[in-house]
Amino acid sequence: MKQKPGKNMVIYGSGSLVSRLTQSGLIDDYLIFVNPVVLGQGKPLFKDPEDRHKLKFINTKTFSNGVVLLHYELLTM
Amino acid sequence: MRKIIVSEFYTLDGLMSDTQDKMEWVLGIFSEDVGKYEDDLYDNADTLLLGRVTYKIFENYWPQAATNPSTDKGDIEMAHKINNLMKIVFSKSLQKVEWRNSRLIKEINPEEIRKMKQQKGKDMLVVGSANIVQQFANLGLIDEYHLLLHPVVLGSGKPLFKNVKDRHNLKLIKTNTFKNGVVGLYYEPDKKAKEAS
Repeated sequence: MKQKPGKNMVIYGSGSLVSRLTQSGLIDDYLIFVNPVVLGQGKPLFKDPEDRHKLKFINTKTFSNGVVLLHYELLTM
Repeated sequence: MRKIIVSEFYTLDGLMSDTQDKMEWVLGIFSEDVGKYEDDLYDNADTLLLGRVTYKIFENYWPQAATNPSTDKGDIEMAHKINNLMKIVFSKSLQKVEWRNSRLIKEINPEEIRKMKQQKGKDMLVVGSANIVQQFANLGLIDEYHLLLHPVVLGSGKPLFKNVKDRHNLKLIKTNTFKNGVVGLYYEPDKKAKEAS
C-alpha cells in the first residue's frame, strides 16, 4: 500500500493499531498533540511494555490554546 | 513568594525512569544546552524536595562526585551546587539521612509547605520523585512544571502522573527545543480553569 501512488495515510486515535504498526516498523511520522492537562488515568497511547523506540525530533508548533504539536519520525533501533 | 518548580526528564509515553529507576535514555543524548538549563534552574533554587528513591540515588552519587577525580567537569560543578542546597526528603520508611544539608520529614504537611513558600529564599525544586509530584499536585502546592520531553518511547517504567487525583488543567507558559531534540514544555496550574470547574 505504501508503495502505491497516492497521498499519505493517517491514523487517528486507534492506540492498538498504532502499537501494532509501530512494532512492524510501518509508521513513518508521529504527530502528537500535547494538551495542557494532567488526567491521572485514562487510555495511554503507548501501552505495550515491549514498545521501546527512539524517535527523531522534527519540529514543534504551539497553538494559541496552549496545545503543543510534536512531530517525530520513527528511528529503527 | 518562592516557587515550587517540578523539573522532569520525561518520555513521550509519560515516564520519568525505566523499570530499574535508570535514565540511560537521558544520558545517551545529554547536550550542553540541557546542562545550561539545569545550571540556571539550580542557581535560582536553594532547596530540593525529594522522595526516597530519588534521594537515595542522589545521596549515593553527588557527595562523592564532588571529589572523585573521574567525575566529569560539568558534574563536579553540579555536585558542588547540589551538595550545598538544602535537601528535604519525604519518606515514611527512611530512618536517617546522611547527606550534608539534608532533613527527613515523615509526613507531608501542606500548611508547613505553604509556610515555607512564604519564607524568604530562592525557589524549591522537585526533580524525579514521582510520588512527591503526585502528592504535591493533589495538594495544589506546585507552581511550575518543566517537562523535558525526550524523543523516546520506553514502553515500561515509572509514570510521572500515575496517582494524580482529578484532572489538573495547566497553562502553557512557553516551549523550547534543545539541540538534542528534547522539547521543553513549561506549564503552570491554570487557576482560572480550576475556579470555573
